[in-house]
Amino acid sequence: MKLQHLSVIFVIIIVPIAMVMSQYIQTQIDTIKLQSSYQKALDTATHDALTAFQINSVNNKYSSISDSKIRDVEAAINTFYNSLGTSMDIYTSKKEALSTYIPAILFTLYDGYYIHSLYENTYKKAGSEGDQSLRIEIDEDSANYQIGLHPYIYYSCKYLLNGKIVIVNYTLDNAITVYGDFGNGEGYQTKSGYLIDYTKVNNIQLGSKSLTYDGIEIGPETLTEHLLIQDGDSVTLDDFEYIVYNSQKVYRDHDGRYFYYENNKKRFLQSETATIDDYISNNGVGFKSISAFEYYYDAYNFSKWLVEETELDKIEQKDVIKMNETTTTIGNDTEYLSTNTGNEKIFDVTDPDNDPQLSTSIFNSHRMAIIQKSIETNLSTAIGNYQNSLNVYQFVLPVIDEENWYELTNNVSIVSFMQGIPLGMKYFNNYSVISNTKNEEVINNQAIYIMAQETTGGAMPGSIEYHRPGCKELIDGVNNGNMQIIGGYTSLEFLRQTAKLTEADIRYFYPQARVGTTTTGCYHCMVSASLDYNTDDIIKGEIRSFDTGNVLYNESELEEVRKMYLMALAREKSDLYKSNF
Amino acid sequence: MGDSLITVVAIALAAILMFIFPLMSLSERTDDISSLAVQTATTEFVDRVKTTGRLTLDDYDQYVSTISSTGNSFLIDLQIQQLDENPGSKETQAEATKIGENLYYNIYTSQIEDELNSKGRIVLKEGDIFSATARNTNLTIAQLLRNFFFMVSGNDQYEIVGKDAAVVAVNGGSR
Repeated sequence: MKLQHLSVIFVIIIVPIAMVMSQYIQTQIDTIKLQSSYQKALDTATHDALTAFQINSVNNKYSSISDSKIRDVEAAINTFYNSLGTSMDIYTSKKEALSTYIPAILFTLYDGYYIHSLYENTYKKAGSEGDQSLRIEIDEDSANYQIGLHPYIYYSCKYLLNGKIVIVNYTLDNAITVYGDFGNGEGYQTKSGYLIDYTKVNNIQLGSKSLTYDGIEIGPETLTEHLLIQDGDSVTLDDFEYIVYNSQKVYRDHDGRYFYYENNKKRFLQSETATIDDYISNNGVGFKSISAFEYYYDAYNFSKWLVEETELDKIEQKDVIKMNETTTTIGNDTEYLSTNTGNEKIFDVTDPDNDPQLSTSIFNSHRMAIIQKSIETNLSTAIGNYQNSLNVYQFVLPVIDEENWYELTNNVSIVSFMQGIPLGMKYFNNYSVISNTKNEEVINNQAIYIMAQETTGGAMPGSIEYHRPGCKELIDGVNNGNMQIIGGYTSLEFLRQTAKLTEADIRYFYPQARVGTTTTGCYHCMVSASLDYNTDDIIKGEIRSFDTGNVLYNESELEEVRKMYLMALAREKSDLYKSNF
Repeated sequence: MGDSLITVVAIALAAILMFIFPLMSLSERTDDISSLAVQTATTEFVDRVKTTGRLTLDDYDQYVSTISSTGNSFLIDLQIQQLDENPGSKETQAEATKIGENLYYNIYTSQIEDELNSKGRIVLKEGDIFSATARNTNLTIAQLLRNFFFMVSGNDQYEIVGKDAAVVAVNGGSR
């Protein structure tokens, strides 16, 4: 055979192979591009949903109330579908069409979570309309499947204590509720409270509403807010002191009268004035907030009761009753929970390694593991039961990585799952986790900002900057006398507020600005966050170098910052409205 | 004479067809696959920073190791644009709606790497912009062949590239 013939045969063989290979790789590239665009659409939609929830809940005074919260959650879900439809260029499609590929959306809230997925509606109307016979019946074989919110599920766990079942409801922070017979002879009990290392609480003075926590003096404090006040045609910005009474802020005007701040106006208290006066008189410390004291005092009593008067402090990981089981504990199965705490006592807060306020504590590790197990169990069931109308894709819960679990178990978060969309040679199967700290659901350790005013030694005397608690500039400024701490508030207080005076006149203000000076975020911690130490270190009172492990700041150098931080954290947690406590 | 010429041409053609063409085709596909891997790794890396609000040394090392596994060396450019809303200082302005004029401060690869090495993580906040670009610095076989046969000018042009950017969606915690 001639060489030319061989060449032709070679070309005939190679060219199709090269073409097919090229086509195959191009398809793979297209698939990846499409997958990336879907993932971005999913991330954006989830972020939009959380932003909608944040805006709705922050601006809804009744958001903590269950029915109102459901409305906020459902509004967020609508936002999710609108955003997803727009990003995927199928906006004209109905929500139902998109939901074919969304087997579940998870909302983690303060003490439990919602799953938005398929459920069987067993309620059925019976009788005739307008007739007394009209009633609701339960039809267990209705096969009436709908997509909507499942009932709220608490972060709860059952334990076997001395042969009896006790239940502990967890939250996103150190607050718990315990139910059951705790072996103290009191029978069945229910108690709620914050768990702290109560041995650190000393010198409780009920009269002056003060105590010391880990050497830091906690006492009454004056709180101030900067409000925009509309009075007829005049609009003024002014600072007012306030206290929180019954989860509502009560301000004191400069003439001594009390008012609520509603629709940019002062609503002066009438008949309630006497009640407020009584409350202030009983406190005996004037018009000052005692919430920080109340937090530690209540937490002290609760934690002490739990450790000293019940046997709850003996509970270990092995006593956890498996999900969906009656009395079967996990025993020596160290892999049942994501974190193995071994033989450590979960609620023994007197153990130096178990200060529940620290993210590294045994209690916190166990809390996160329990929340993760609960979500995994219920979510995998919801997703597994999801029926696609095409029935060509088997929905399963994907593996969620540790970093995302950390976010989920510590912040209000939304997780959306999108599965089963054909992507050329495979199906899209991924999820998006977005969490946020700007909401009125939970006060976590990072949610406190500290305000400091520059003294005459500072670069701009009189100006105010707000900082994260671990800010190096703040710690150094306070230590060398160039800054003076003037308050600590939640991060929400530093967000811009909108006041709509008329249709055409919209003004903005910041509740933590002050008259006659400027308030700005610190460049080093708020803008760049480059010089911000861990909040756990602030709570512990010692900052060590990441590189060398040497002590950078000791307890006395952190005292001022730590005091403000611990007081603000306690106060804001205490003032947070909780529907189940 | 005529036959000899044709034979020489045929041999040259055969050599090109049997060796060079498959090699070029294969090396081009290899680069495509490397590009795909680098783009995927870059998107995942950027998305992780976007959704957690944290850039950690572990994540960065993992990203570098993933793209290096393609057998190429890379130049990585990172950029963080830090949002400064500078809210309070605008309050005294007469035009109330001007509140929230935004500024961005940029930090780049070497500063980011220094900070990662000294602190192990960089915390970002909602509204910051993070971008990453990886470009190969070595010459791939496809590039060598192409430069040789097509006389393409600019031998240092990169072939494998992955780039992505995102606006950070959450405030990262300083844990």
